Amino acid sequence: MKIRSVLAILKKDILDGTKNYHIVLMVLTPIILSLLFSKLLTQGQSSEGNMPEFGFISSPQQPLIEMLLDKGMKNKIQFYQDRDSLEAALLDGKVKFGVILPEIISENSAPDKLKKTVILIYPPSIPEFAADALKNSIESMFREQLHIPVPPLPFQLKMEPLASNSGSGGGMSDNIFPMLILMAIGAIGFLALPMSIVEEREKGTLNAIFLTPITPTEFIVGKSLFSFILIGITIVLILTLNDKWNDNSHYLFLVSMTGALMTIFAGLIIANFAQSQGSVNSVGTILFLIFQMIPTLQYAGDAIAKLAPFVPSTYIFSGIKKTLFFDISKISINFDLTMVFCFTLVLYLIAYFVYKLKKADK
Amino acid sequence: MNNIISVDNLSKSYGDKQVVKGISFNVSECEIFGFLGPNGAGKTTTIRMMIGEIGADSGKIEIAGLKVPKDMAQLKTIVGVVPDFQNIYDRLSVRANLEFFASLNSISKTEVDRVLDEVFLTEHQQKACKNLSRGLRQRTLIARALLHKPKVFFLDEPTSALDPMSAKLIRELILKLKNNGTTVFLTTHYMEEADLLCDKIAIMNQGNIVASGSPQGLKDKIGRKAVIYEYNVDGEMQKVEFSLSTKEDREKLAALLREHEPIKIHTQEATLEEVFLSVTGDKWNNSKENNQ
Repeated sequence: MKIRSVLAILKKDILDGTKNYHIVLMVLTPIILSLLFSKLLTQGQSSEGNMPEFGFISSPQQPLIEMLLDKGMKNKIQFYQDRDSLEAALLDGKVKFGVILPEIISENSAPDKLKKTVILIYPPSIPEFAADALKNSIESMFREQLHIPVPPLPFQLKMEPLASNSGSGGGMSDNIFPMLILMAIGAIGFLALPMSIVEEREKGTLNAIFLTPITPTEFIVGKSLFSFILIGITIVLILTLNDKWNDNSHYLFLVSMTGALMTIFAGLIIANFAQSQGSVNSVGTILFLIFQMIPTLQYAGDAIAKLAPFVPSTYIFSGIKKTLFFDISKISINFDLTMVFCFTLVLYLIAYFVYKLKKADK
Repeated sequence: MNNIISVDNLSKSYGDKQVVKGISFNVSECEIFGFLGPNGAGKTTTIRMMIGEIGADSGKIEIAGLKVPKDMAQLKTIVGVVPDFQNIYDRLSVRANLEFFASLNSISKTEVDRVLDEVFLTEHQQKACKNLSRGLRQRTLIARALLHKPKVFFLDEPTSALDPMSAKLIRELILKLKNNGTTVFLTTHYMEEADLLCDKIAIMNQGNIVASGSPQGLKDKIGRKAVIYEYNVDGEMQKVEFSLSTKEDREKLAALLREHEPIKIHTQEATLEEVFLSVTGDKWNNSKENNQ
């Protein structure tokens, strides 16, 4: 393979891409949306400054509550009469977590009261893998507030997801960035790349290219490299402009760019079969929507939740979310990474055989 | 002169329709070979087979001793192609288009300056191709095909839909190429252009080559030669046309010469267009007659 030819395709695509409003829009849309949502969410958070983070079903005279109020958590606590109103508040995003205290619990509760169960209700946007981490973090928070340096706590914390299928409610802020990164990966892989190849075919520039000594492999590598770099740049801009870099960012890149490769292979398969840019648009948009929506809506209903494990973006989404919002030294992303690698490999093999068969056919 | 292109018994079908029916022809080095025919005759399909874009069903093609499609890698270095549609990157400038193809051909960027100069595009080199006139875009295509100094140059309807000035410039370029030792394989619908430029012509119709030879040879052989005889009878001007190809007409002309003093005698030479219509069938007139 001649690197010079690959770089020539890459350079031409960069020059052409900056003047192609389709490509520019595909890159700019997730970036602008990230800035917009970031701004909106920040505004939301500032008004949330005095908003309670915990919804409690308990008597304010409960010693534990009194203690928390004394420790300066007054603004972090809101009381509810029953579970229904607490769940409604959770769904509306008025509180982040719900806590049900069944009976009197205090700092001096005897060990025999360990059996007392405190129920912590968390929003459906928090995936199962994160519930354990959340439990630990809430327990440490209680421990800190109650001055109990080592376990056990005077109660047992039971985690319960919010039993609702009416939407993900207050989880938007956690989902938005993974969703926008998926948008960049999907739009460029499923749409921009195959459209660019089919445009070359429709305009006949592909014929002109193949009258030069370039090989089909060099052409495909050059085209794919452009899309790969474009996705990389988009993700860097989303993270930079929204100040989202953290210690896990290299893992975020590993998951995202492997996912990018996967969509690029899918894009190459689409380009092979599509007769026109219109057909790329139809097929690519359907794939893009599935890719984009299934992971973000998987907590909204059983049917989508059942479908989600078969959609590769579920694992990309989960991996990105973990790297953005969790300490991955405590939550493993190995499963997500493995699944993304497997799906990428499968799509690579399909793309390889599709092009091999086409060459043989020619 | 040696043959640089040799096509032998070439055939191609699309489904049940055979579009090229076992054609054979040779093109000599440094000549301009005109490949003519009505729309749908199979010209572009033949060219696409010759440049390796599509495979032939049967037959042999050799260009400069290289076999198509077996030696395509080497052939790409000696063949330049200007297709019948303007396949350039519209959003890129003329120069960016040429530099891209120079990179793919592993050619130095100084060659870009050379071809820009050759086709008189230097002053337009920074313009985006989408903003160029059809003639300038066509010159960009020619410049692109000339980057690697091809030995054989395929031009598919290069002056189609161009204004007379642009067309003249392109014809001059074609002649310049020939004089520099390039073999030109030209298809065109303009018979005057073919007559003016081509050393040899092949006319294709419905997948077959129906006539070939030099333009003059074809006109002499196939075209209608006539004499127009004008004379005076009782103060009234008479005009009679005689074909020189029939004995009867020649005898009538001789008799007229004896009886009436001529005022004017014109010879009328056949045109390439008449040759073309004669060998491809004048479909337009035929259909008009049928309708009547």
